[in-house]
Amino acid sequence: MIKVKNLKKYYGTSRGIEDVNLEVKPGEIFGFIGPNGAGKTTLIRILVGLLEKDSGSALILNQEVHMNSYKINKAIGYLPSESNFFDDYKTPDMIKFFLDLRGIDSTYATELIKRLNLDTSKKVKALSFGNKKKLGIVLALMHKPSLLILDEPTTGLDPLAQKAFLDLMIEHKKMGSTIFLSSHVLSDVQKVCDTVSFIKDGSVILTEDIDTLKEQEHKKVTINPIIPLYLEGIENIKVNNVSMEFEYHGDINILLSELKTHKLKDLTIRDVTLEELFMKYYEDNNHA
Amino acid sequence: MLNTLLKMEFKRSYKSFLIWTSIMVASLIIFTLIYPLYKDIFDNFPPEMMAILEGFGGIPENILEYFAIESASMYLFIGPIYASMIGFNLVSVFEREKSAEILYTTNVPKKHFYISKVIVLFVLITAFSLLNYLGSLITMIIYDPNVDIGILSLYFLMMNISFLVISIISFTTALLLKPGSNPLISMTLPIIFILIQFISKLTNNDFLTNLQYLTPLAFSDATAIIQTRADIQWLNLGIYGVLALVLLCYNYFKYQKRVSI
Repeated sequence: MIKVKNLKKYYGTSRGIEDVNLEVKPGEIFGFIGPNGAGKTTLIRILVGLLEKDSGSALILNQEVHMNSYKINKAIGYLPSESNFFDDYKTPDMIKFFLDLRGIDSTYATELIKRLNLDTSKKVKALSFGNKKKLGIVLALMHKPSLLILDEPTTGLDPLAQKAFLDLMIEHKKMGSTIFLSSHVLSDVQKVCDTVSFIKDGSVILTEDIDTLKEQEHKKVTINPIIPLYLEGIENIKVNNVSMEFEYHGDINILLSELKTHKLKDLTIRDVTLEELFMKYYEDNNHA
Repeated sequence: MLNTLLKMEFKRSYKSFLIWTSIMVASLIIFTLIYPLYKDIFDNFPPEMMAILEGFGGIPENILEYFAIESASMYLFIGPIYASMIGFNLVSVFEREKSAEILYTTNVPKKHFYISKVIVLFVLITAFSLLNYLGSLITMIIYDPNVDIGILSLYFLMMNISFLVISIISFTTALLLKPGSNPLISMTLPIIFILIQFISKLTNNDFLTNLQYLTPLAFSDATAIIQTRADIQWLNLGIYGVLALVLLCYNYFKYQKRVSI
C-alpha cells in the first residue's frame, strides 16, 4: 500500500527526513513512532502531497507520490496533527462542505459524530482542541478510505474518545482499510498496530511487526527480598534496600522454576512496554 | 466540486464584501448628495480664490465634474485597497488559518481551487464596481436627469479593470511571499499605485509623467475620462491588460506548485 525508499527531505539546511525506508502492507495498521522533530510529520506531508521530496521514492497504491497528487488522495483519509478548519463555519456546515466536496452522503459521518460524541452545536472557532481533533477524525474517516494517514490522532482526546477512536481503527481495518498512524503515545500504538516503525533524527531505525517485537521483548522482574540468581538471560540488575529488579530474556518457566527454590515476600513479573523497548533502543543508539 | 468551492468562497467573502461595498456606496452617495451645498460655497467664493482653485484642476461645472474631482478621489483610495485585499486573501486565508493542510489533501485538484478563486475575484470586484456605479448614477440623476451616463459608465468600467489588475497583481504577490504572510502587506501595493498616480499628475515633467506606466490607475483617471471626455491612456490600459493576463496564467501554475503549509 505504501512503499518508501531512501526518502530525503530538507527544509533549506535543516533536516526534515534523512533516509526513510518502510513498507506498509495492505490491510495492516502501521504505527510510526518517534519523538517530536524526528521527521514523522515531514514523511506524512510528503505522502499526502503537501510537500515535494528531495530524493528517494514514495509510492502509494503503486503510484509515485508528488505534490498535489489529488488522484491518489481520493483513496486517502488524512488527519493532520493540528486540526484547523474554517473558524467562521458552524461545525455541521464544515462537515457538509467536505461531504459535498467528496460527493458522499452523510450517513456514516452522522454515525461517527455520535460515536465520537462530537459537539456540533458550536462554531468551529468555539470548539475545544479535543473537539477539533474529533472533527478532523470525522472528516478523515467519513468517506471510508482505503488508506488512512493519521498524524498524532489521539493527542488531545479524552479517554472515552480515545477508546472510541481505537475501536474505529479496528473496525476500519476489518473493512479492509490500511492505516498509517504516527504517534508518540506508544500505548495506543501497542493496542492496535500490526507493525511499528521507529524514526529518530530523520531515519527509520527499526521496523518490526508487533508480534515479533513482543517476542523480542523481555520481562521486567521485581523480587523482594534480594536473592542470588545465576540464570542465563538476566540483565540490568538494579538492587535497592529490600528488593531487586532485572530484565529477563529467556524462558519464563526456567525463571519460575528457579524462583520456586527461594522464599519470596513479593514477586512481580510484567511485559516490558513498547515505550520501554523504544526508549531502550534510543538509549542504546545514543550511547553507541 | 467547483460549485462547492465557489459556494464556500462566496460564503466566506460576503460579509467583508457587504461592509466594504456599503461603506463605499454610502460615501459616494453622501458626497453626491452634498453637491448643492458644495455648489453654494463655490458660488460665494471671491474671484481671487476661484483663480487659485483653477490651478488645482478647476472648478466643477456640473455634478459629473464634481464627481470626478471629489467622489472619485475617495473611490480611487478605497477601491484599490479592497481589490488588493481580495486578491491577497484569496491566496493567504487558507494558509493563515492552516486549513490548507486538510483542503489540499482532498480529492480536489488544486487547479479547481485556483479557478474558483479567480471567479470569486472577478465577481466580487465587478459587483463592487457595479453597486458603486448604480449608487452614484441614481443619486446624480436625482439632481441632473441629463447626466452623461455614457461617460460615467466608461469611468466605472475603467476603474473596474484597474481594480481587477490590482487584485491579480496582489494575488501574485501573495503567491511570491511566504505562506501565511500578514494581510496588511496587501494594503501597501495599492497605496504605492495611488502615490505614483498622484505624483505622475503633479507636473508636466516628462519623467514624472512617464511614471504613470508604473500604475494601473492611470488609464482610469477620473478627471481624464470625465472632464476631458474619454481621454483614456490606451497604452497604459494595454500594458496592464496584457500583464494581468500573463499573471493569471503564471498564477495558475505557481498556485499549484506552492507549498501552503
